Amino acid sequence: MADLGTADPQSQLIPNLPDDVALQCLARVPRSHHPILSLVSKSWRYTLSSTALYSTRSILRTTETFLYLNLRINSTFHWYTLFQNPNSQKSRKLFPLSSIPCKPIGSAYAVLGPKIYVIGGSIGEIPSNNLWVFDCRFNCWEMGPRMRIGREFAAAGVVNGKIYVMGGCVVDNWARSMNWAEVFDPLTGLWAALPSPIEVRNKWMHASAVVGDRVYAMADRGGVVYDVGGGEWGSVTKRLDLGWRGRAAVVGGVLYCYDYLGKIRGYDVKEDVWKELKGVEKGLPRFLCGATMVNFDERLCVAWEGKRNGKEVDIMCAEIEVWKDKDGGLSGNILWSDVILVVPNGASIVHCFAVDL
Amino acid sequence: MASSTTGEKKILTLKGGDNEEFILEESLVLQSELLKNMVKEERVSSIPLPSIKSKTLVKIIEYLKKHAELTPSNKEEFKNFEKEFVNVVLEELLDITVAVNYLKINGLLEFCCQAVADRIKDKSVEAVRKIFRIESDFTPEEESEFRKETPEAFEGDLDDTTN
Repeated sequence: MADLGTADPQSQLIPNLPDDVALQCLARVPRSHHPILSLVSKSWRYTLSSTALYSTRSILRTTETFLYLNLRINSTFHWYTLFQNPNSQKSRKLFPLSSIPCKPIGSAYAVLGPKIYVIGGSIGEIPSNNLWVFDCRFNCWEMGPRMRIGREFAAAGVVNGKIYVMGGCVVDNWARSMNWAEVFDPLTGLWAALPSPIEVRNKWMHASAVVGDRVYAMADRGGVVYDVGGGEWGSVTKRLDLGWRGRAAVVGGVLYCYDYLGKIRGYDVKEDVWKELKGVEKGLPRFLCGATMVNFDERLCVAWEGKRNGKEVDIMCAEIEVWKDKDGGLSGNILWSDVILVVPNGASIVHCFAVDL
Repeated sequence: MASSTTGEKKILTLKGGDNEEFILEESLVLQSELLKNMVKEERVSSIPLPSIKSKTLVKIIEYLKKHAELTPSNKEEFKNFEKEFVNVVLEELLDITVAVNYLKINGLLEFCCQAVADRIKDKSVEAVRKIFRIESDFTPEEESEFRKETPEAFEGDLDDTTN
């Protein structure tokens, strides 16, 4: 644990306990308690916000999943995380995070390890090749390695620890056609071109998801699938294309989104069929204005804008347990549903993320 | 105490901090990486453990015996035993954790660390300091500033007790 070396060597974390054992104890304490324990002493504060603590948590498999939201309020982007105080009966609330130093529009997003990647997006109407990275451990933004080309409204997906990005650019020169799809390896920090056939190179993507090791990217008409294992490109089925709305989430190999009636339904990739998610109708409104979904530790998390009054909007969130019935149907059970923030009218949810920390 | 090998089980003596002797089967101590290496490489029959209190050693030997008897059919019973095992005053739990770390009994170390974590998670800052006899090295100004950084974390009731 090299990181601990720079702490005051005189002060052991826990007297009589070797620091590496004390670290194992602290790594097992739920993260919501860390702000309190950070006040014990300087060495505790230092350790609780060290990379050593987070890598120990991941080795010990004591990580927990946290929800992050990106909201657009009065045409600026705001970032939040959902916090639930374990010692208080008060309900869940969103807490603001430091805001992104640059405000690209139409970025693609990916979560890898403890970081959220904001990929491309236009700045002053010019597609950028920026990569902004939010490190959820330390609540800070950093700039990552730039992509080979600029993009807006691209698709992104994570498979086997690498980020695959495709589209979001006009293929009008050699560089853009060679780099229509790129892959980023966070271990080397390098972007590499991903060869693609001409016929799949759609421009703007409105949605993306990963099922197994296949990245789905939905264009305005049709969509493409990239099979990372086989290195093969294909097109999506007509059924998936026609039924996919908004930010979908994949839980248990099923892709969930809302349908034209505002109900949640899931697409079974193997069967090529959409099925209604039963058992949740009573606890949820009709998502006629959309909903953003995310896989939250193998449960379905749904965020949406609820009406409050003329001036304000409720940011709502629900966590749903989902499963496949014996007859192949999809059922769900709402674990909780709550108002997590009240924002001015016109505000909207841009994206929703689940991060393991 | 000499270890005998003639058809019988090998016997080993552990000497606790206060020179109290514990005689047990050698197979039991093989769960400890440290003792295993001593027994295998140095062929000793008596191992002094001056840094470990006898009271702590008794507990650990009790665990080694129970763990050696663990089978799929008494899993539940063992889990209950584990729960009771760490249900001791915190000071004793820390003694056990330190000893288990020294002896390198990996499964038990994980369990002890989890027990320590469970004990401190709901405590107030003051209680944690008292439990571990840690002096705050923050100035009062620093402390109140850090409290303001995450006020949401300090809402609600915290446990001030030190058991």
